[in-house]
Amino acid sequence: MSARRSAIATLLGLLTTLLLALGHREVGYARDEGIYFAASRQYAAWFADVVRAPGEALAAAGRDRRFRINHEHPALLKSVAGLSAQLLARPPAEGTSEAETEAETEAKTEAKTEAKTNDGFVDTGGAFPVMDEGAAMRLPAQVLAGVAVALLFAAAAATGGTCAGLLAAGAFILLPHVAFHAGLHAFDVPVATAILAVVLAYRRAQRSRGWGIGVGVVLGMAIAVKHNALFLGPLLAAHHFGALAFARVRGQTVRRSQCFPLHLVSMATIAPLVAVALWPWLWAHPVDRIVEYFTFHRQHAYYNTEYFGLNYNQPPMPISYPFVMTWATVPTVLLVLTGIGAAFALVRDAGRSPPVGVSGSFTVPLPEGWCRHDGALYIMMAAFPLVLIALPSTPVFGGTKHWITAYPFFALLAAHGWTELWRRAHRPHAWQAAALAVVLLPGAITTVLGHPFGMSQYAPLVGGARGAADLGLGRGFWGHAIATRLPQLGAIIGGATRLYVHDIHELAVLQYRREGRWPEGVTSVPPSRAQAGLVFHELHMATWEYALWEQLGTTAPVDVITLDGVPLVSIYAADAAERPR
Amino acid sequence: MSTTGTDRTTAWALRVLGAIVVLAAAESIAAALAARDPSPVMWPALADAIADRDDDDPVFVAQDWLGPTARMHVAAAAELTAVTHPDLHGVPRFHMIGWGDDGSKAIARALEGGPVPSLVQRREYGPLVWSTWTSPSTDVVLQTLTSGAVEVTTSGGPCRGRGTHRCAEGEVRPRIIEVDYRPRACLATAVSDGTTVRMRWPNVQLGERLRGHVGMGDFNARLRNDAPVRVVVRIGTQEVLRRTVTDLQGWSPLEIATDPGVAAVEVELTAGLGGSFGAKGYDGTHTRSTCIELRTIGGAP
Repeated sequence: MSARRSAIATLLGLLTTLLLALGHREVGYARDEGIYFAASRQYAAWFADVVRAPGEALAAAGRDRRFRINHEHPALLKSVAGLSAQLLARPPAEGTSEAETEAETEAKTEAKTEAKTNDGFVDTGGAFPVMDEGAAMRLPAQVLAGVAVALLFAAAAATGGTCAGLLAAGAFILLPHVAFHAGLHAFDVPVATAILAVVLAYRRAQRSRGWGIGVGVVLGMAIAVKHNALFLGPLLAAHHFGALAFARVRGQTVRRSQCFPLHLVSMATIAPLVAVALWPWLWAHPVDRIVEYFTFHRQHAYYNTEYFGLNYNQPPMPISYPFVMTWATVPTVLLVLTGIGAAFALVRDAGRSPPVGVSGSFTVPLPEGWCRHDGALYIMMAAFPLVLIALPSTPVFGGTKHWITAYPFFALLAAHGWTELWRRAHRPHAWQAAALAVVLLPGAITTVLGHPFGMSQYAPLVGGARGAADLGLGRGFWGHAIATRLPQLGAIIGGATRLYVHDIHELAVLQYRREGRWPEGVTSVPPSRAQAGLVFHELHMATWEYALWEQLGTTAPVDVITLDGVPLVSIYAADAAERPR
Repeated sequence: MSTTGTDRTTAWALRVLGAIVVLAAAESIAAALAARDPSPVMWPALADAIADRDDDDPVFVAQDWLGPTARMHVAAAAELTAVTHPDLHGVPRFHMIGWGDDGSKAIARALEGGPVPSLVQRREYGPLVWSTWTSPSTDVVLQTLTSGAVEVTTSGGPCRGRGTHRCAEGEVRPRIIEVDYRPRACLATAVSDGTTVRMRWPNVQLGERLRGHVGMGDFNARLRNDAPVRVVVRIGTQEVLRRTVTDLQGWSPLEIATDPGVAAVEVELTAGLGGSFGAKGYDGTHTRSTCIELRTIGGAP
C-alpha cells in the first residue's frame, strides 16, 4: 500500500476512534456493559496482582479469583479495557470504590456469589486520569472500530482506489447501529473487526508463508474476543476446499500438500493455543471450562425481540427477521451496491482462466495466478451471520448486533461493485468523488441524527424511527437511553429519592455513581416501593409501566425521551404531595 | 471488446451509477424528512385545543407508541378510563389523536364487531392529527361492574375487604394488567391453583348487552403457563355463558344479550394453574393473574 493510502487509512481510523470517544459520552451505559465494567476492573486487578505478588496471582486460586466474574465470555477485550482504565480513568467518586460498594453490590447483583475480591485491590483511578472510567473502558473497543475502518479502506483501496476505500469504510461505520455498538464496551464490533482481520489474513495466507502462520495468531485473538470467531475455521476451510475443487474442475492439478495447507494447520493449532493463553480462566480445568463455555452459549437465554408488533421469545423466529432488519437499518443504496458487487465478484471469479505452470504448495496453497475466490469468500462471510440467525433452531437473539459481523463484508462487496461500475463508466475521477459523497449521505444522516440512540434508528426508506414504530419494530433494549437526562433527572422526578430504574443494570447504576453522574441521594428500588420510575419501551416489558401507574397513581409521564418523536424512555413521578412513603 | 460493445457497457454502467446516485439522494431526503420532529411545538397547541373542547367524550391515542408523549401533554388522554378502554362498544362519540394517523387502524382493532363509526372532524397540528368520531349506535355503558362494589367468595367462604378482597386462597382486586401488551383495567384474581372465585353483583342495571373480556397477565406469566381458565356467567339464577379461555386468545371478548332491567350477575372464574413452568418443573407460586372486565350496555337512560 502506498504511503498516501497508509496515511489515509490511519487518519480514518484515528478519526473514527476520536468521534466515537467524543460522541459516546452521550450514550448511556448499556445493560451488558455494567457487568463488563465490573469484570474489567477485576481482570485489570489481576495484572496488578501479577506485578505485586506474582506467585499468588499466577496460581489457580489467584487467577480464578479475578477471572471468575463474567467467565461466559473470553477475557481479552475486558482485560484491555481494565488496563485502559488503569491508565486513563479518573478515580471513583467518594463512597463508590470497589471496597466500599462490594457489600451493596453483593446484595443486589449476580456478583453476590463471587468470592471476596477486594484484597489488594487498588481502586484509585488511572495513572493519567483524563476521562471517566466508563469512557476509558470503552476506548479499546473504539480503537478496534477505528482499526476496522482502516482495514476496510486499505482492503478496498488496494483494488479499487481511494474512493472505493472510502466507500468501504463509510459503508460500515456510517451505519447507525454499527456506530452505536462501535462505541460500547462490548464485543460485537470488536469481534466484527477481528473476523475481518482474520479473513484478510487468510486471504494473504494463500500466498504468504508468514501470513500462513500469522492467520492462526489472529484467529486465536479473534476467538479471545468473542465466540463468533469459532465459526471461522470451518468456514475458511470450506472456502479453501471450494477454491481447490473449482481449480480442479477447470483442469488445474491440485497437489495433496495444497489440501491441508499451512494456514489451515495454523488455524487448527496455533489459534486455540493463543485463545487459551489469552484467557487465564481456562488455564485451570481447561476441558471442563471449555465444555461449560460451549454449553452456556449452546443454551443461550432467549432474548425478547419485537418484530412487526409481535414479541418473539422462543425459536423459531421468522426466517425473514435478519434480512428484513438488515434492510430496515441499512440504507438501501448500500445494499444495492453490495448486491452489484457480489454479482461482479462471482462473475469475475468464474471467468478466471487457470494459470499454466504454476503449482501450489503447503505454504503457498493458491499462488499468484490461481483464483482466490474473493467474491465467494466475502459473500460467504456476509451471508453466514444472517443465515445462522435465520435458522429456525437458533435461539432468539436480539438486535442487529448479532449479525454485525456481516457488515464489513457488505462494505467490501459494495466497494467492489462501485469499482467495477466506475471502471466501465469511463468518467473523470471528480465525478466518482462527488457521487461517493451522495452515496454515503443517507447513512451519515441517519447516524448523526440518530445519535445517541443509534440502536433505535432505522433506515430512511422505512421512515426512520417513526416508520419503524408504526411497523412494530423494536425501539431498543439494554436501558441505555437515559444518559442525556442524568444531569436533570433529580429535578425531573421532583426530588423523589426512590427510583425504579427498570432495564438499567444495577452495575450500570454503580458505574454512573462511580463517575458522579447519578443523581445524589437517589436509590434504585422495585416498582412497589418507587416514588418515581423509568420505563424503557420494549413490548415485553409493558407490564412494568402499568405497575408504575398503579404505584404512582398516574399514567402521565413527567418527561419522555424521544427519537424523532418516538418515545424511548418515559419518566414517571408521583405528585410530591401524594408520594408513597 | 468492440467500440460499440464498450459504448454499450459504458452507457449501462452510467445508467446504473445514475440510478444509485438518485436512490442515495432520495434516501437522504427521506432521512432528513424522517428526522423532522415539530411535535414539541405542536403538542401544547393540541393539548390546549383538546382541553377547550365542549364535550366529555373520551380521548384515545391512535398509535400505541405515541401513548407516553400523548399522555404527558394531553390530560384527557391520560385518564385511566381512556388509557385502559376495553373496546369501543358503548362509546357513541370519541376523539383520537395520532401522528399522521386519524385512528382508523386503532378503531378497526377496538371495534370488536361493533358498528363502524364515522369521522366527524379532523384537525391537524403539524404532524399531529386530532379526529372526532361518532358511532351509528347510541348505546352507552350503563354500568361497569368490575370497577364497582362486588361480593367475592370462594369455597373457603366470603373474601374480606373492599377494593382488595382477601380470600383464604389468595386475593381479588382491581388492577391494571398487561394483556396482549396493552393496559387492561379489570378485576384480577390471584388465587391458588384450582380455586373457583365467585364474583357477584346483586343489583345490576342491565341494558341490551352484558359485555366484557377475559385475559391473562402478564407477558412473563403467560410465557410460563398456558393453562386455560373457565368462565361461567349467571344472570339471576340462569347460567348464560360457560366458556374456556386460553392465553392465546389474548383479550378475549364475551357478550350476552340481556333484557333491560335490574338483576343479579354472577361470574365464576376458575384458573386451573396460576404458577409457572420452568426448567425445574411446575412452581405453584402465584405469578399469573386472570383479568376480567364486565359492562352493561344499552340505550341511554
